[in-house]
Amino acid sequence: MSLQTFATFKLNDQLFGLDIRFIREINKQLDLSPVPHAPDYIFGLLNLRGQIVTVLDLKRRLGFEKTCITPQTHNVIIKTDQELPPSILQDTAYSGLSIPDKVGLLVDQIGDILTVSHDEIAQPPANTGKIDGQYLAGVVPLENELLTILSLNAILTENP
Amino acid sequence: MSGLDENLLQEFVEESREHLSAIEPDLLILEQQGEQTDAEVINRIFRAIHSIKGASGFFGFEKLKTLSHSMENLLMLVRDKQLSPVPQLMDVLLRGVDKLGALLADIHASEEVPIEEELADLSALLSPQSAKTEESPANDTPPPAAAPAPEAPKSAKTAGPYTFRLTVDAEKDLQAQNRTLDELLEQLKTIATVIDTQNSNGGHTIIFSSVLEADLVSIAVSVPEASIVLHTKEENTAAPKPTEAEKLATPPPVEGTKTQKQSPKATSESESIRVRIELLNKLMALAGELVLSRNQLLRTVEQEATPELAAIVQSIDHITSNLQEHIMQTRMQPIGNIFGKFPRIIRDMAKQLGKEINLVVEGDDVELDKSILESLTDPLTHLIRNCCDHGIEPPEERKQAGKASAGTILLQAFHQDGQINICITDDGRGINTEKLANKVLQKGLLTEAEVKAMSHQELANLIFLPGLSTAEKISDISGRGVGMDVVKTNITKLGGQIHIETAPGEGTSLLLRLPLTLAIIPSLIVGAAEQRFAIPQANLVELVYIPAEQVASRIEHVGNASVLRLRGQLLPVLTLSEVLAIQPTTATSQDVLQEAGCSIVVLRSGNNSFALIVDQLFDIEEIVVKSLPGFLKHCKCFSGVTIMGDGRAALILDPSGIVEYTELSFQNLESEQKKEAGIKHKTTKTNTQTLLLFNNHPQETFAVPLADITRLERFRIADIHRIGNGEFLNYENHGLSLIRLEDYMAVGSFPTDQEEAYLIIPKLGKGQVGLIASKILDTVDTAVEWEQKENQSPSIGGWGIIDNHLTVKVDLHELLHQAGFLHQEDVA
Repeated sequence: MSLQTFATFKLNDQLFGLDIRFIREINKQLDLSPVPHAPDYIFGLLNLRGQIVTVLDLKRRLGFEKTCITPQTHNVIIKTDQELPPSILQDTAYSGLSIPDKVGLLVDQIGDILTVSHDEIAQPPANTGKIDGQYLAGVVPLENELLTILSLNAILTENP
Repeated sequence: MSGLDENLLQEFVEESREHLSAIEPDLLILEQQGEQTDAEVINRIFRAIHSIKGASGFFGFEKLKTLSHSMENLLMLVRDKQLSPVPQLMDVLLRGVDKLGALLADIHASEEVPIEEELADLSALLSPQSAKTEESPANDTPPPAAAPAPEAPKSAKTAGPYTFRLTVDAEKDLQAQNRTLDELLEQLKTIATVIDTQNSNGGHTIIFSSVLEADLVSIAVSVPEASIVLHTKEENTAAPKPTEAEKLATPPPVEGTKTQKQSPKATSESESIRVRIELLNKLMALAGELVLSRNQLLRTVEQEATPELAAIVQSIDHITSNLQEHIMQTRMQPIGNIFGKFPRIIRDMAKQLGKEINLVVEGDDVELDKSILESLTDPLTHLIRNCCDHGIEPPEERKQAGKASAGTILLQAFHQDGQINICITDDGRGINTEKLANKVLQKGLLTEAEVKAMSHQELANLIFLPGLSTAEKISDISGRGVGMDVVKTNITKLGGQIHIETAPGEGTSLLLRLPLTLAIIPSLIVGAAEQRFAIPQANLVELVYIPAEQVASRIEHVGNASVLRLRGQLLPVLTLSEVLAIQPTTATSQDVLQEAGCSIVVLRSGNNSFALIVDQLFDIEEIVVKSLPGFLKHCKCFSGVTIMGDGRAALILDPSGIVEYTELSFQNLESEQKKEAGIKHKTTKTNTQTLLLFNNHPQETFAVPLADITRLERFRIADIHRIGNGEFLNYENHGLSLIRLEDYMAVGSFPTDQEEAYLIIPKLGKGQVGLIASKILDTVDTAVEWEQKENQSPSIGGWGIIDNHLTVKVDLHELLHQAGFLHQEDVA
C-alpha cells in the first residue's frame, strides 16, 4: 500500500493539500514587488536569497477573491525542475509538468502534514463550489472535513 | 572505441578544432608568401593535420583520418618543394580544412559525411607524384616495419612526434590476454607506426612512433602504461638516421601548440586549464548575488555604522568589486577570436568577385564577454561581406578613380567610455545615397517629401530600414534577404548601437558601440507610484527636470498626445505610472506636475527618442540582470528583473517594449515637426499669429500680420505730395506711393482733422508703397477665426473679434494687387 504525504493549508476556511515533494520551503516573506500588466493572480516578485520568486495569489488563481495579507498568510515556495528529484517528474501523474522558474503560492494559513494512502484519495468532483475542476487532483475525506488536493500542473500552467 | 571515455573523445574534438583554427592563418601565409614561406609555418600546418590524423585513427573515425591523411601527403610534397603552393592547391587545402571542421562539428555523424569531392581534388594534385611518396588514401594504414619499401621508416617517423619503446612481457601482456606478439603488433599498427621489434629475454621490445601519448596508447593496446617509455634517439640504434626532411617533420614538440604536451611527464607547466562554461556561468551568477548582498550591506551600514564596522564593510566592498571584475574576466575573450575568421572570408570573396582586398586589423586583443562575442559573429561577418561585395570596387574602377587597385578594409576594436567600439572602414565607393533614396521610394517605405527633407547622414541611415537591399542583383555573397536591418536589430539586442558614415567615392565607416558585458549593467533607478524600476544606462539619453512654472509651456499637446520641446526637437511624452497603470486615481497627472515640476528621462528606442515622466529619480546602481519569469513574459514593458540595494525585487524597463505597448507613433510627430519648421506662413491661418492692430477711421479696427510688415513710420499729412490721382511721400529719397484703405474697401475714411498719420510699409511692396493709418493700437498674439461675409471687398481678408472689437483683416496681397503694385504672378 503506497502512501502519499501532503502539506496542507487553508484558503478562506477550506483545507487544501499539495504533494509535499514539490515544496521547497514555507516562509513568511511577503515583501513583494507588484508587477504592472501581469495577470491578476500574480501577486508580485520576491527576492529569496538572491533568487527571484514569482508569487501567485493562489486564491485568485483558483477563482476566489484576492488575498488580503494577514499575520497568518504564508508563502509556499515550490521546487523548480532542477531541484526536484528526476523520479517525480517521471511519475505519470505529473507528466508534462515543467517548473522552470521559482514560484511561490500565497496561502491564508498553514495546516498539518498529512500522510494518506492512495486508496483514500477519491476522484475530485467536476467542481467544488467556485473552483474549476481542472485545478483539482483529488479529494480525501478526513474526520471533520474534506482535504482537496490541488493539481500543480493546472496551477502553474499559464492560461492562454 | 566503445570502452573509451566520452570525455577523451570530447577532448580530442576540442583539440582538433584548435588545430584547425590555428592552421587557417598559416595556410593564408603560405598562399601569400608561396615558396618563400618559412619552413616552420609549413611544419606547423603539417603537425596540426598530422595530430588530427593520428588521433582520428585512434578513435576510429575513418573519414576524418582518410581526409587528413590525404592532406598530409599533399603538405609533405609542398614541404619538400615538390609542389609549389599555387592558389589552386591552397584552395584544395582550405576546402579540406573546412571539411575537417564539418566532420568535427558532429563527430558521431562524421562517417555519414561525403568527402569524395575533397579526396578527388587532393588525389588529382598528388597523382603525378604518387609513384614516389604517395600512399593511396584508401589504404592509409602505415606500412608495417617489415615492408621492404625504403620510404617505410620515413612514414613511420612522420606518423607522430613521439617515439616510444614498449617493453612487452610475454607472460602478462600476451599469454594472460590470450594473444600473440603479431596480434599485439597489428593492434598497435592501427594507431602507431612500428619502427622496430627486438627480442629480449622473456619478452619483446617494440619501438614505434605515434601521435598519441603513452597513456592513450596503453589503453588502446591494453598494456600497462609503465611499459611504454619515451624513446630517445641515442637508444634508437636500430632505426635509420633521420634525413633532413624527417627532421622537419618531427620538430621538437615543445614548439607545438600549447595543448600538445612534450611527454606525459612534462605536463605540469601548462599555464591554462580548461574550465567548463557551465561552471563559469555559475561563478558569474554567484558573483552577481554577492554584489547584490554587498549593495544591501552598504545600504544598511550607511545608516548606523561604527567606525570599525565601516572599515570592514569598506574592505568587503572593495574585495567584492575586485572579485566580480576578475570573474567577469574569466568570461572575457579577445575579439581576435572573431576577427581571425575574416582574412579567410575576405580572401575567398575577393577571389570570387575578382577584387583585390587587403585587411588591416587593429586591437584584436580587446576583450569582450563571451556571450556578446558569440552574438557578434554573424553581424560582423555580414558587415565585412557587405564591405567586400558593395564597398570595395573592382580594380579597374579603382584605378579609374585614381585609387590603388587593392582596396583596404580597416577593422579596429578599442575601448571608449567603458564601452567597446568596433569600427569597420573601407576605402571603397561609399554609399550612393541617391540610389538608396530611390530604392526607399520605390519600395514605398517613405514618402518623397520625407526623403527630400533628409540630410546626407539621415539618407545613409536609410540603409538600416527593414526590407531594403541596394544590391542591383541578388549576389551570392550578400543580399540574401537578411540586410542591415537585421544587423542593427542584433546589435540593439546586445544593448549596442550602430552608426554609419559614408562619403561618395571615399568609403564607408561603420561604428559599433557595445557594452562590455550583459550580466551586470549600470542602471538608473526611477520611481513611480511607490514602486521602483531600473532603466539600463545604455537606453538613457538624458535626464530633464522641468520646474513647476515651466511645465505648462514646455509640455505641449498635439491632438491627444503630449510632446516635450527639447532644444527644438519634439519628443512624445509618456508618464510611467500611467503606462503601467499604477497611478492612484485621485489627481490627474497634469495638475500634480504643475504643482511640483517633473522629472523626465529621455529614452532611446531604436532611432527614436521619447520622454518618460517619472515620479522620482534615484541613483545609478549596478544591477544584475535576471531573466523575466515565464508568467510575466507577456509584460512587454519589462526586459528582466533585478534585486535592488534594499533587497527588493525590481523590474527592468524596456524602452522598445514601452513604445510597442503604448503604440507610440513617431511618424505623426515628425510630420508635425516638419510642418512647423517648413512653410510657416501658411500654417498661420489657423494657428496663433501676431497681428498689428490699427485704426483708419477712428471707430474701425484693422489688422495685418506683423510678420508681413517691414516698418512703421510717422509722418505729417502736410508732407504728402499729390500727382494726378496718386499720393506720394518723400521717403528715404524716393517717392513712396500711399494707399488709403477707404479707396479699396467699403470702410470709413481717414479723419480730416488729423495732422499726423502712420505709415505701414508691407514687405510685399518692396519699399515702394505704404498704407496710411490714423492710429497704431497694439500688437497681439492671437488665434482668430476669420469669418467671410458675402459681398465683402476683395481686399478684406475676413472679420473677427479681437479684445471685444470687431476687427477687419486686411489682405495685403489683394490690396496691393488692386492698387497696381503687384502683378498677378506675384500674388500667386
